[in-house]
Amino acid sequence: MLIQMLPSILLNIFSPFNIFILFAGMAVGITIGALPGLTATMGVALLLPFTFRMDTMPALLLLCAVYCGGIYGGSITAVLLKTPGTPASAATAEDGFALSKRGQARSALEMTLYASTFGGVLSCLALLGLAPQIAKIALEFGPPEYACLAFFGLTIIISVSGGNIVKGLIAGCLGILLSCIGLDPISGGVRYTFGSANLMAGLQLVPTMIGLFAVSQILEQAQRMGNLRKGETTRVGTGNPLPMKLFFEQTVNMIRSSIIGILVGALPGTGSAIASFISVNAAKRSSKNPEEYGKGSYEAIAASEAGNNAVTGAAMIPLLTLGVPGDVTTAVMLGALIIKGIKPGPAFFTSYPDIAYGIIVGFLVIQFVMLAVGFVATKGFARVAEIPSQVLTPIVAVLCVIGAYAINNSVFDTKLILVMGLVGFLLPKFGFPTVPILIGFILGETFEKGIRQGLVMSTGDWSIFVSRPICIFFLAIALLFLGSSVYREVIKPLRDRYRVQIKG
Amino acid sequence: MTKRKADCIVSAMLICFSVAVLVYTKCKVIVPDAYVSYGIGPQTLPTILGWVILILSIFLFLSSLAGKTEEQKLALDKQELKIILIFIAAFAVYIVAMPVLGFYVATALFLIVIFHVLKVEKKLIFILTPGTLLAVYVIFTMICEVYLPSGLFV
Repeated sequence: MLIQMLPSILLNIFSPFNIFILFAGMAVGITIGALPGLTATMGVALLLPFTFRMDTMPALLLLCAVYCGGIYGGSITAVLLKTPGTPASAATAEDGFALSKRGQARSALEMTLYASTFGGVLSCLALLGLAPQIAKIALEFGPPEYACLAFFGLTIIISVSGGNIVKGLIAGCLGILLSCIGLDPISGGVRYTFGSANLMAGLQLVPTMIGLFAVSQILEQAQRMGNLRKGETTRVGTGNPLPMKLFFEQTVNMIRSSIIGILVGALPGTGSAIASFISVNAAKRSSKNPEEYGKGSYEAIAASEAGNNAVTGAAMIPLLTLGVPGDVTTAVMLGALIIKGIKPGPAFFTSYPDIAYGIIVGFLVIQFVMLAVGFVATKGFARVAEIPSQVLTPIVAVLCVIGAYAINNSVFDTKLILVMGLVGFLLPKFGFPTVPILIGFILGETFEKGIRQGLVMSTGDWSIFVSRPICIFFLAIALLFLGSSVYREVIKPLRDRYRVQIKG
Repeated sequence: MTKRKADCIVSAMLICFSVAVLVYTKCKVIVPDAYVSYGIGPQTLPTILGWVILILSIFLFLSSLAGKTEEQKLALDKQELKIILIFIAAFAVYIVAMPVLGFYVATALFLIVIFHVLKVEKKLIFILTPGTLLAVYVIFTMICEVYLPSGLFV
């Protein structure tokens, strides 16, 4: 059916107005994504009223362009300032910023762009060819499967512990403990609120992330600027463009990360942050240079970006095939469709083939619009690295405050970023990595909710977690990862030390 | 301070913290029986985490006492410490003052102070501060319609 409809769909998408909509939506999305605290979801929600008077196709193209642009835009500030614009790019921040500091901002941004496009394109192809099959797998996911997926995600903590597993595990536990603050997700019991109404809903992800990564980085910059004399500046160059050979070397890595992104993205309620962390972890395990991760690795950037952008198309799968929005962004898109009198669901592809296939082809075109806009703008973005830190740091601090406040219009969240900033600044000084805190915080609630709902389902029988095929799959790879991590990080160094002692 | 000494202090603090978590969870997270299903309630995960942190911290403390961690020095000179403390204090005052003075006034004061502390030229401060505020107003207030705190002033 697609082949018959393709000419009319393409004619519709490539009309002058729709082209304008695509570029405008992409520019808005990238800008919103790049501002700390303003997420892709917020961008889609902000532009929703503009679509009320539009036809269905341009309205959906606009929202999809903002969504994809928002996810990509978040990586720009992650690379340049170690300030992830959205949670999706938190995994890019360490390596991207390390490259920026070495004066390779431009090549890091280009890797971000190309890998994002790669992940986005594969995701569209999956949406086009495998949507019903992937939706079927997603439907199989119940609480026990989510618990096992979260457990698998938590094993990543070991590989991002920076060589000290004990400190990494402590940081991960602290992250999970932070996710326990507020109302208990099952019973509504109150935990660790200390009588504060602000803590009832728990700590919000975006302010926590801004504090841990951005504010801590601001304090780090302040420390570095402590010894500067008047008029002295700290600026680095933008470096050379990315050699295409380096990009093509990442093909396998990007395909693997895109598949992870597609599978995670199709699951309701997971999100692109989880996809990018799992992708980076998988890339590190199969890398020839795992020691470079966290210190400026192009592989890590490629994995994270392909993973998080692959989520964008896949997140549409449950929406288009089942009528179930997987996250807030797709829920807003569902709203846009309903406003236009269209109800997605199992019959969507047969009832509205022009709209259904139009969205998919539109998503594919959006990836190339992203490539074009990003390609033109990257050189300009990279120049941010040339702005002296004395000028940039205070302005970023103000943006962080706005970003934290804008999420819930809450002054409490601005205080939270300072506290989390101090945590993110002080813990690495004592060898505790901050990434495990974020992973624990993101996955903690999913893990606890999955376990407890699973036990309710099985009337207290724990074997539910080892008797379902998807659970067994996740537990098996989690145990495999744990085993290989313990071997690589603990047993092998001990063995090597023992051998050196014997030789000595 | 050597890294070994720092590890000892941090692990001792973590031991105290995990004990506090365990005691608080036991005494203050009041859980009616109806909240506990199949032996698992709101207290379960925090209690497990408290024990895990306690065990790992004791391990860290003992291994740092035994001298298994590196003897590397933690570098932070006086000038660096001074500027960080000023930055943290200014940031804290900015956040507390924001609902009282209003976002724009508090931000202007914060930027002027921090630019001055970071030794930015005066001429540049007078360009950058209003420039930043104008950009924030256009992007956030006018375009994105984000309602920033308004206090006694703006």
